[in-house]
Amino acid sequence: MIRHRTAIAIGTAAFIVLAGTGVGNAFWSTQASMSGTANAGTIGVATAGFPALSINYTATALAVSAPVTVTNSGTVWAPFSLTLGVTAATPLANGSVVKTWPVAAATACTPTTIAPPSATTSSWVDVPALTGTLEPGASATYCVRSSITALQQSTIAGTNLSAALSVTSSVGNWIASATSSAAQAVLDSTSPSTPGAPVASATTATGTSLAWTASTDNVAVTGYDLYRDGVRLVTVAGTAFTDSGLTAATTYRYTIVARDAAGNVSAVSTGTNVVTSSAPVLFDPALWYSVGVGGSVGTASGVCIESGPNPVNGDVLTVATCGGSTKSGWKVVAVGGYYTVVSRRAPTLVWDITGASLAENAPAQLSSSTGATSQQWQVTQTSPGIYQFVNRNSGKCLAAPTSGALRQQTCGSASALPFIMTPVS
Amino acid sequence: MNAETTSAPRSRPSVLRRMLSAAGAIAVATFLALLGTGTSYALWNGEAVVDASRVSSGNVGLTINGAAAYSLTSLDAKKLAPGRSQVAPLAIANTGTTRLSVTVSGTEVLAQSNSLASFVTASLVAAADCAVATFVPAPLGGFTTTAAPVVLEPGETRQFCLAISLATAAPSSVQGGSATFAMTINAVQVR
Repeated sequence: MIRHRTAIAIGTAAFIVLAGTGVGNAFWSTQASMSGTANAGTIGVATAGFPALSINYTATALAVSAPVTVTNSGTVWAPFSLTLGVTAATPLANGSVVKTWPVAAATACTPTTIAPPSATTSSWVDVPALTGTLEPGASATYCVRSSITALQQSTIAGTNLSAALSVTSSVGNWIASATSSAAQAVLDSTSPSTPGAPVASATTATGTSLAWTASTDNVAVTGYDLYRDGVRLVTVAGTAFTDSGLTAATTYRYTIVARDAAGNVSAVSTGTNVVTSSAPVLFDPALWYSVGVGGSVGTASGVCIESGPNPVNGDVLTVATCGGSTKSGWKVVAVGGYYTVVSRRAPTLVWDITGASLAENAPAQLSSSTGATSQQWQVTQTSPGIYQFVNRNSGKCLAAPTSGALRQQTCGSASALPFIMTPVS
Repeated sequence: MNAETTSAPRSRPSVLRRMLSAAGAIAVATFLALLGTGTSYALWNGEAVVDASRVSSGNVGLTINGAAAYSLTSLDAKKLAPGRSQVAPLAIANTGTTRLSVTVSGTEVLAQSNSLASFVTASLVAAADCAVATFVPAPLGGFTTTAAPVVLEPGETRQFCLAISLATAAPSSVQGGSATFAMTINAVQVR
């Protein structure tokens, strides 16, 4: 019995101890922590200086040098590849020489800087790529020199190139790029050869046709300036021109100057004198004429141009039924290659366009004769006895509308009818 | 004359002797039981009235670069790019008196911009020189230790390297983005 109690006591004690160690058997633990922020950078690249390679090559400017800078404008280091080229392979692009070399600073790249032996040499069509790696904010500078020879300045004159710079920087899928451009040209400083002397043909009282031998040029002749009596008359692309509006029986001197696209001009050609023929005798200066307004061509309408009974300066020209009155008597007098039309009632008055107007429908009037070109008419015989009057000043035809004063209209318009000239006693 | 047989009353000294014998047995049993529980004796016994000069409770402690909560400010200094990493050396110390098994128990992305966290990986390895450490990156969000835990002896400091990387395939849209995270290092007592 006693032994049993002892055993129970031992067991109870062991149970209590072991039960108490149940919690103690769990592992101790602790923690520490750390925190931070991961930041993604950015990629970026920029370039400067390339436009300074733009140049117009001349005999005295055969080369250009400029520092070209590449800058890492991002926040992570990155490699870059800089390529120089042209948008099209022109004679200048193929013929020019391009040298590149790295420099420590832009100031180390001047027109007089001597390119080191390590400089790359190429034309604009095959410039080797320039590569490197830049830390954020860092830059790489290259000196770029483009040049041509004096001979090329003549042989490839007039050509040009569009130079293009492209720089790319990439890390993984991050890509940045920048571009720039420069324009170069070889100016043409060579003048065209002297053109041949103009040769006149088909000369009339009021015009002549001129032709001359073409000039040659290292690039191309773009036109010829035609001078009449020392005054530039016109510029034409070809080697012929018909001059008009001349005065009969007058001597004109023509010379030619060739020009090219660069503005170079040739020496003045040998001059040629042209004498216009005398004006044709269309009307007898001793006779007075009635001027009938044509209906249909060649058919009299029964109305004639008439002045007032006592015409004065400024009277408008009107029409009235043809009646043989001296009011409808006119004398046509040759003046050079043109004519003036004199009033029978007042011989000091001649046909004129009011105010020497160039406008359509400007009225015709009687004016005191002054010799002004607005008082001169080119008279063209369209058929026997039928004439058209073209005002020398405006180039418009005398027209007789169905009512109102005579006026000038564009030749060929409905009212610009021919006139029937009939001698009157 | 019949002699009446009666049980002689137990003498008092005999009962006392038996009681002492039982108490001794209990004491022996208790001693043996406590002997078998080893170190847990200290915890269990923390509230016991014992002689402090002979039995003292242990403790556990863990620091990262000297701090229980360490801020990885060095990550702010440089920017990540596709395929590139930022590495931070870490000194993880067992400042307690108990052997500890150290693991990364979890990583939480607290904030981000430009969806950056999806392309960020983390790796924590024990290495004395981060420049030659071999990292095994895993996604930052939920990052834990997959390798065998590192056991630190009491008072031991071990060098680790934390690598935060951006995936090579990270799109351009994550440029300029950020991802703030918290990583928990767990230490468990080992015997």
